[in-house]
Amino acid sequence: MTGGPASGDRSAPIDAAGRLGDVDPPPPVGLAADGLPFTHLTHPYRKMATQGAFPAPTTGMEPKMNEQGLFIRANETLHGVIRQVRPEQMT
Amino acid sequence: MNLYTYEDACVPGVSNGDAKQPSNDAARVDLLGEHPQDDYSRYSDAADAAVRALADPSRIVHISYGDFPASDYLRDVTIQRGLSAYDTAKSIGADTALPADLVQGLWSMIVPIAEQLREFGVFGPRVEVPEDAPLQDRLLGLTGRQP
Repeated sequence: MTGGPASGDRSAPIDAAGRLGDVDPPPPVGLAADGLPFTHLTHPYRKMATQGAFPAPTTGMEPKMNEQGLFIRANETLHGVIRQVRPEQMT
Repeated sequence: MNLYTYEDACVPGVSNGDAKQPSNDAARVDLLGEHPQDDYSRYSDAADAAVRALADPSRIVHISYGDFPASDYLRDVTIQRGLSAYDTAKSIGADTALPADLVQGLWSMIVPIAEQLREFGVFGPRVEVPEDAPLQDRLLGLTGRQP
């Protein structure tokens, strides 16, 4: 595939895999491979966590916002990026 | 982008404690019509509103992979959407700087589980970043991204 931001062609469409032009595809974290929301991000970890495989996480660096605030911050940030996607790139 | 929309579309129902979402088939439905930006905004705003209205983050919600406290669900989707914001911005050549408070929050959420997620293939190999680098760069390196 040609075009895309790396080549200066901003009009390249997104292909069937969701890739833009000739830009490298993003890492898999944002893609739910089986269509389940967030499954591949969390499912194996969840399964093991519920089996007691991992201790309760602590970082010593607690976020300034709670989970609700952080979700909204993340979602609005993503929304802000989406607003910059050109209409022809959404096909 | 439709996947992002679908993820937002799930948030109100999950947050409300609804039964498991009809994930696979629903995710294949095109939620974006002739005005995709408007449609995306509608789902995104509804997701934000649902999370704002969540009175008890400890309530159990039903996800396709099990039942968990809403706060855990929100953590997972926050990680997903925060990193997707960076990935998408990079893909379209937009500014990739994330808000500082979001970076801090993602860092705190991801550090404890980063290696486990890496084992499962969620993150690629860690990219070494100097300890005195900006926190976003360290976050990207931690999640297998080249700053």
